[in-house]
Amino acid sequence: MTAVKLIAREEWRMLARNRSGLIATGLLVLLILVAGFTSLESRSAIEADRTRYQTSVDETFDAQPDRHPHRMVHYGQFLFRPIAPLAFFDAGVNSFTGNTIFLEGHRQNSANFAEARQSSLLLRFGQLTPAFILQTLAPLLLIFLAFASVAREKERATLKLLLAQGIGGRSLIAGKMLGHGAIALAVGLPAFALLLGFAATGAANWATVGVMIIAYACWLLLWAFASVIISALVARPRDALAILMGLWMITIILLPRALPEAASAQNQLATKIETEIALHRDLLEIGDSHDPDDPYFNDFRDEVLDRYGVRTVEELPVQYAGLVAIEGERLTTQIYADAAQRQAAREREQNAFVHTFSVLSPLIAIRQLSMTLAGSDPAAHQDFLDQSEAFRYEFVQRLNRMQAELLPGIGGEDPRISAAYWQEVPRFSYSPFNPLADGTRITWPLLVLAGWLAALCVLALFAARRIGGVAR
Amino acid sequence: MNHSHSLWRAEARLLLRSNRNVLALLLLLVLSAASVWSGIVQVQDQRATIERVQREQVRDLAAVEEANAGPEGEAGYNAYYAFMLTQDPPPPLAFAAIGQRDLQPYVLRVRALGLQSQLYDSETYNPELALPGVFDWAFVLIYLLPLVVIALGHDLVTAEREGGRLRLLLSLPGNGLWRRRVGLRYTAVLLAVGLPLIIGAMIMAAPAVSIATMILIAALYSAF
Repeated sequence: MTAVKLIAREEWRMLARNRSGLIATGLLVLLILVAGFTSLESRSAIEADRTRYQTSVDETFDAQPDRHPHRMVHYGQFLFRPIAPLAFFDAGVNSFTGNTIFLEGHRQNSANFAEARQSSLLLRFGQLTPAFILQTLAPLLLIFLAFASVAREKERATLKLLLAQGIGGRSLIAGKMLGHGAIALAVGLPAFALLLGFAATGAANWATVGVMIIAYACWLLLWAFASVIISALVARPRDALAILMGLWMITIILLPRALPEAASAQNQLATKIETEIALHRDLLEIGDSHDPDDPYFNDFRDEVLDRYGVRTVEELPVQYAGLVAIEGERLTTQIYADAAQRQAAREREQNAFVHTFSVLSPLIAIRQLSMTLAGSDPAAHQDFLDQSEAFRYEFVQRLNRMQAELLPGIGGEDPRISAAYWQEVPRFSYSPFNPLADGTRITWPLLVLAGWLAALCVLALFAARRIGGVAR
Repeated sequence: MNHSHSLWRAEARLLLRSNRNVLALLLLLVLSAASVWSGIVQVQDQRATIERVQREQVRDLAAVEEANAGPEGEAGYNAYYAFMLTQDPPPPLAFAAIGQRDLQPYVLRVRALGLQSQLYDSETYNPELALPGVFDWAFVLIYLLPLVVIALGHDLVTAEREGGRLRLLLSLPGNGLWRRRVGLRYTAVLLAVGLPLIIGAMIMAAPAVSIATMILIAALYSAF
């Protein structure tokens, strides 16, 4: 057996003797499992609720009586966002984005009822998901297990004995890193097993789960290695502990909170009121279809009359108001879509600003990676919004076409079309978002994590040389 | 009198001789100052936003008024179409504990149409930025201060035992050794966390009574 393995095994024996270390590790593993199961449970409960509500609003939509189609445009449809299967592992921004969206003609409503607005402040500290525990608490445990690894030998002067027996500084550090790296992976094991089990049931795809496991393995190794190296660089265990706690505080607690504030101070989002007022102004600029002298809609009328080869609106085979509604919807949708895109672009800029700092605080990298893979990141939410907007446009235009084509045949003071037509109106079907589709969002954080590991290995070589120097 | 004075001074020197203690206290001071500063920036942003929205609102109201003016205008439409602005300006001490102000709308327009749904309108915010939670003075007090207190106090007695001085210390005449040590650390921590708050509150012109209450809460919490 080589010296490296011997040292690793000795380290394990040492740790197994430490009762409080064992209890803490056991507690953390238990916590991961409990968090995994409760969050799995709550995810399926929410999912069931949403499916039930979706069915019930769909049924009431179908049960509407005979009506003018435009009344149905305003009756609208409700959509509930389905949760991605892996969101139980990392809830990401799901609690902060609206889950319900009301679709109607003429406007794009925001997705409302975000959980964060309805729950206590405690949510802001972090939800009890396996991701939160692995990201925030596991590093603490790894620090407590490894801070003394090399410094202890220094303090008790056993280091000189070891070196005198011919063990090189390099194999000493390598052995300690091997020992604590294995422990780090063991700590992550229950979470990995949970993920693999989930993939085996077919609820998540293997590639996503694989990348997720690699990312978390890198993250845990990073803290184990950092603890061993710092321990090798300082003289006393308690100094190592103080430095590592400071690192944990700054990179995991402080930076991820302070950076978003810097980002929003640097690049402010417009409030909803300002956006709405600006939109309203833009809408007025298009023109007013009720105004007989409006230039835009006069041109539109002439063009329609030309197309049907008639001279007056009354001679048209279709209802003119319906055509105006279709044209109006097209124009307003464009204006709303532009505004929404501007808003999303600005949010992306803010996030990109924070992401550049992942080089300093690897937590940002792992968090981004984890929620991207779990399908609970802002991009997945944006994808839902895009899909729902595309659906809204289709749905409203379908009703507008019904108005244009069916109403002339009915006539009368209060024209209505049969309720049977409501069943023809399409229903929203969500096509799940594939997190691996856009590789750039995954490769950059993975590179950052790999870069941190590489940098730590270089630092380990340096630490090994310094320790080797003690012998001489 | 002079004797006890020099005892306190000796304890203070002991406390400050350890780099670790000084570092922990400095860190707490810096964090507390940073949180107060960031809270003030946020509150000022919110105030600026409210002002900006108010100006927009005046222009919007004028536009509605103009649209419904003239001989064909219907006076009732003004009440129907016009939005009224409501706002919730941050109180002077909000910078210390932002709470949910970053998520809940603090400006809201209401009108006499579809009242129910207006209640649930959400403000636009960037969910990814909101995710980690706000960094304000209350956060430093609740989550970070205990860590510093642990760093300062964890080996208060055990270090003496490890050093073999515990029995000697206990056998010495005169008491108040532990009282002095704990009191000193307590005051140092409270100063580090409280000073930035007091300065921030003076900048924001908060009423003295509420500042005192905040400090009192902090003192009680740290004592725990």
